[in-house]
Amino acid sequence: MKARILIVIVAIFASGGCKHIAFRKYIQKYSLSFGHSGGFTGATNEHILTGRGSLYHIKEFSKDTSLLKTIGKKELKHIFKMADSKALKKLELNNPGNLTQFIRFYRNGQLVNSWQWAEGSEPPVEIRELHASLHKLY
Amino acid sequence: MKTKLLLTIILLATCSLYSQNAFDKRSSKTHGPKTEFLKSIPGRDGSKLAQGNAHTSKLELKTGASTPINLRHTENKRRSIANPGHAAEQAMDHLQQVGKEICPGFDVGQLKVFESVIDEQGISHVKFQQMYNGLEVYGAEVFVHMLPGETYTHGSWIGIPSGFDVMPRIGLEAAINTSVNVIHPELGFKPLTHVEKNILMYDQPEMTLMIVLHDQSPVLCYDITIRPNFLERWKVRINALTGEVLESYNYTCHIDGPKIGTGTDLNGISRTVHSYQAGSSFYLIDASRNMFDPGASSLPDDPKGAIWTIDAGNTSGTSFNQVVSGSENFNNPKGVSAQYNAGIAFEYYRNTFGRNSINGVGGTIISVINISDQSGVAMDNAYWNGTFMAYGNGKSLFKPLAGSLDVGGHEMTHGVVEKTANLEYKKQSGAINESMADIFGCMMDRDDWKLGEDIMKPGVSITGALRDMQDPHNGGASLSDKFYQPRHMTEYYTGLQDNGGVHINSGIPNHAFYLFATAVGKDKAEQVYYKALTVYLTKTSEFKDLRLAVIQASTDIYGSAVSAQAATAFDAVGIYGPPAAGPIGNNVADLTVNPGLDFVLYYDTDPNVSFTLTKATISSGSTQGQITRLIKRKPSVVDDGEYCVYVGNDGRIYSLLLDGSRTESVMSSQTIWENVAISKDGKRLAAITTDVDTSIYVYDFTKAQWQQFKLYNPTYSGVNSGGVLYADALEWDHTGTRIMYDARNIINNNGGSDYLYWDVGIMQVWDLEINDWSNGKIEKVFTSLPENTSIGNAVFSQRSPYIIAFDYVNVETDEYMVVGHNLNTTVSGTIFSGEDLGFPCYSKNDDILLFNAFNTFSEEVVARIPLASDKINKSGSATVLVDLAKWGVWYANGTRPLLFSNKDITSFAFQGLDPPVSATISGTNITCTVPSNIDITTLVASFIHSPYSKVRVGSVVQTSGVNSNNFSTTVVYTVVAQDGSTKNYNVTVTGGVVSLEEIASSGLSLYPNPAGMEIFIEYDKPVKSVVIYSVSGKLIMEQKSDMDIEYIDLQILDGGLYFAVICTAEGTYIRRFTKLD
Repeated sequence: MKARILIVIVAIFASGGCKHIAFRKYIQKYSLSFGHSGGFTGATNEHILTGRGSLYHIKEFSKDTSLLKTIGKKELKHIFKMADSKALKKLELNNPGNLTQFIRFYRNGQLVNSWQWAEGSEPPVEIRELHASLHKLY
Repeated sequence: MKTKLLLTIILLATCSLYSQNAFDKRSSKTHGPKTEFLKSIPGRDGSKLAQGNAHTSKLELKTGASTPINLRHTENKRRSIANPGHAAEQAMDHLQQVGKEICPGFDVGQLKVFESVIDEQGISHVKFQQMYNGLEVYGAEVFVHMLPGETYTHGSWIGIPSGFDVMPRIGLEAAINTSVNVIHPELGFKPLTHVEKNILMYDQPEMTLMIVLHDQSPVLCYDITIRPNFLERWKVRINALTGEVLESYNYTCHIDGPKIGTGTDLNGISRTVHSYQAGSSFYLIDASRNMFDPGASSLPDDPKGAIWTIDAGNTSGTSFNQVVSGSENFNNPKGVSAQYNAGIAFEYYRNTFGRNSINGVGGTIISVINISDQSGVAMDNAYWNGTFMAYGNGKSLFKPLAGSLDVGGHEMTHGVVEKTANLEYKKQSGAINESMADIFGCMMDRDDWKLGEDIMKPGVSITGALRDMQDPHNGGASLSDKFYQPRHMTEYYTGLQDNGGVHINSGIPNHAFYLFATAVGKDKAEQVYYKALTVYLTKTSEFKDLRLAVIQASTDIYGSAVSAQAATAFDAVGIYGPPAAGPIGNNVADLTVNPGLDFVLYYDTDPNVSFTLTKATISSGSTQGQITRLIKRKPSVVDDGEYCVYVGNDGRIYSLLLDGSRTESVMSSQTIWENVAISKDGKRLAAITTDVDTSIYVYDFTKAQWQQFKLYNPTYSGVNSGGVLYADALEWDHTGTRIMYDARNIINNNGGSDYLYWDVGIMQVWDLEINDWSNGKIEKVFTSLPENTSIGNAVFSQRSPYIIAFDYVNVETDEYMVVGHNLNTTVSGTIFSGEDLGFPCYSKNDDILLFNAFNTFSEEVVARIPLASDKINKSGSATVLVDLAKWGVWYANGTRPLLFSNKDITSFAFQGLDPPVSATISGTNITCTVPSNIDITTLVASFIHSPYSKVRVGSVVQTSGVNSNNFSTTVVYTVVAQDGSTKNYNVTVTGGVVSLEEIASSGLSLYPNPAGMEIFIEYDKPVKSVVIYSVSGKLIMEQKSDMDIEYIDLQILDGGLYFAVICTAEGTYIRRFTKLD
């Protein structure tokens, strides 16, 4: 399988001028960023979960990024399935507060959906479940 | 036949026949039942319940000589209680009336007022103590609560037999000796020291002779309190006739109560700690402040009116525990710091502003320590969650955040903001919210202008602080630098992060406060800002509103010298005020004169004339009766004079052609109407019904649809302007989109009489841009009126949309005036002083005002008075135009445009630059050059455009001096005239630099983001070059292509944040991305 993919890649490069669309299936499709921002400092504490399972933490203010761990496929699939569910697709949640919790869902690098709510408030159950699952990762 | 128009000598006013309810007289609604502003409630209508038939209920259970009391009486009359003393009198009167229902021997003469209060809801509560021959009858208390519509009486009464002996037979010393012998103190007897006596305010056993109920019989007894040691308190009761011990018990069974101790805070300082002991445990509950409510508290887990610190136990708030100590001294620096700082913040607000706690009414202040994030990781932050202040313990940037007073003050102020202006936590209102929190946090920790300096770890920030109000740049040079904030509107952040930059842009108002406080002193500045916050700001206030609020608050408290300093401070940060005159600069536009002939339509009051509405031609003086129908209000005429509308006495809406044909038609056959007005262009009708339904109904003839608009009183500030009852007079503006109305309002005066008055509002009912209903937003002509005054019957002038005239009444002085008012300059002028309402109306040239008046024979007339060129003052004397008439309406039968078509930009500059840069306007091109050090991607333009027009850039409405735009490419400013026509101006700025802020572009995607070894660019047009910059603006790499760049190899980049400047044939786009390690 891997050899086949490699041949395809080489073939595409060799053909020159071929659109990069063909590369999509090899590219991370989904990613999620989540965390909180605001409070006294106004800082954003952000984690990123890539489609390949890498969990990164972006440090407040400096934006230094560090890899925390790699998440297993099963867990990853479960999380992205939740994020891409019908219920969340149509859910609009934009209620920031002094400290705001957020989850942002990306597909192919494009922001697909974004949910944010004030710390202390109770978001819909689907968001609570996704939020809890994400924060269990580290 | 009605006589021709008369011109007679100057009017003489006659004595008024009208009472102080002048505006009421014209409204039939005032002739309804006295509770006209309330809908009848079945079964409780005043007509069905007579005096003395009050419904009562009681529970009667007689046991021994004690009678429990539980009575409820329905009250028919509206109560007016001015003060607690008055309440006590009324309560006593009530008990006098209902005494027999309590028990036969009930005697109000035995009652002594113990307490009388009126609570915030206006309910009076009076407590009586039964006394017999000057002695307290223990346990016999009667409570009277005067609720709306009901009096509730409860308590108990003890019947004392006639001739009851109140002379004791046992001496005081003997009684005390007996008491000492009968008690068994747990801690034994230990004489109190002098200091202990002072603390307890106790020197020796305290005795009171009273009557108690013992074995169901009243007994004369000594009630003795003994303190055998510092901690215990005993109660002993001894029969004063026989010496028998009736009872004895330990009065302080667990020695609970407020305690004072010490504890070391996070900064190593020993602090006084106010705690609460319950049993053998001490809790961080400060119950020492006046706001503490022991009666409502359930301690230790539900204190009311306390300052309370609890522990989240390194959770995100999923569980809380008390902070407990085994003694009054605490070994918990975080708890001590949080508790101490909350106390300081409480005292700051109380002593500086008289504010009782965060919510203003003594609510418990809760601090939570050891808060972490969702995963239990230490939090490098603190926050206000709407209920409590939460302190993280810090991680890489901060030490435990409870250690800083300005953090505690900042978070507590968020609570104050929430309970006052409640500024929305996004964009400019959110930035003001943050700024207020910083300002008052700084005022509590007032030895410097920095925030967070006490808890920032060394080496994290150049200045050692998180923020600096003196210099919000805080050691940085741009937004790319950590802890940098803008300090001027030219640096305003327009991105979407941080809810539109609430922590970023707060630097601008922060700096304004610093400048203001430096000029006038911190004491004055904080008073001004507190007033601005609590009185003038609203949830959507923007920076320009903050400026106005601070200036107004300064004027209110200290006068013009201080408000001038406020204006200077805001100017210095680029938050400018409105121009000095006119809506936009001096471009005040007038409509053209109606070119038609002049007519006056009036209501004939001559009893010998059958016609009611009559039309008179000004030039010839000829008159023609139109209808004989009685009508309720002044008619409303369309601008071209084709027809008028009115409500007949039958409640139907009629139209009447004014072409001489006298053709009358029914527009609405429903007999529910009270008043009606037709828009000047005839496209819409506004009407009110006879019901008190607090609504204006608008009919659009094109949509063939009614829309109901509810009346309300907008609170520009937190000022309570009462409730709107109903509207009466209606007048459309020239655009047919706004209705000016007068309305009756009520202010409920808790504990006193309600206050009724009339005022004038303007409601937006139609939106020309979308050609559909608008949101009904209301603005008041005056946000507040002087006491005892009402205004109404407001009309627009015929040419100047910003000029109105209205009736003014002072009910105290019985003064009536017709007043002219300029909505732009807010200047008013007195046009006529009369004896009744005028119902003014402008002539077509606005050079004459018609109004109702009385001639020397006390007959109603339509009078006229020449006006000055300002249209709000008279320029001569009043004369009679038509005698035996009222409600004159001046109109012309020509056609003219009613919407302005002006759509020019007449001035354009960047005033915030130093020095300011003015642009050149040539046709529809606006050009200028700015210095090379200026970031042209975020420039704020100041401009003047045609009055009544709007300016947009794309879909964003532009406000001069507010909106920032990216001028790295030509920006198109579109001016939209009132009539909907548009003109585009191309604004080109040369010079300056392009800063690396993200410019979003639809259709261009950069992925994956965060990226690994490569990043792909997807766009439907060829990408010609990609330049990668670091966040500091340093060029890292560049890639060019004659064809199309589809991906960039990122292997040489270190992990971190970058900007990709992507150039296509269509334009340049900037996207941010993260390269992963």
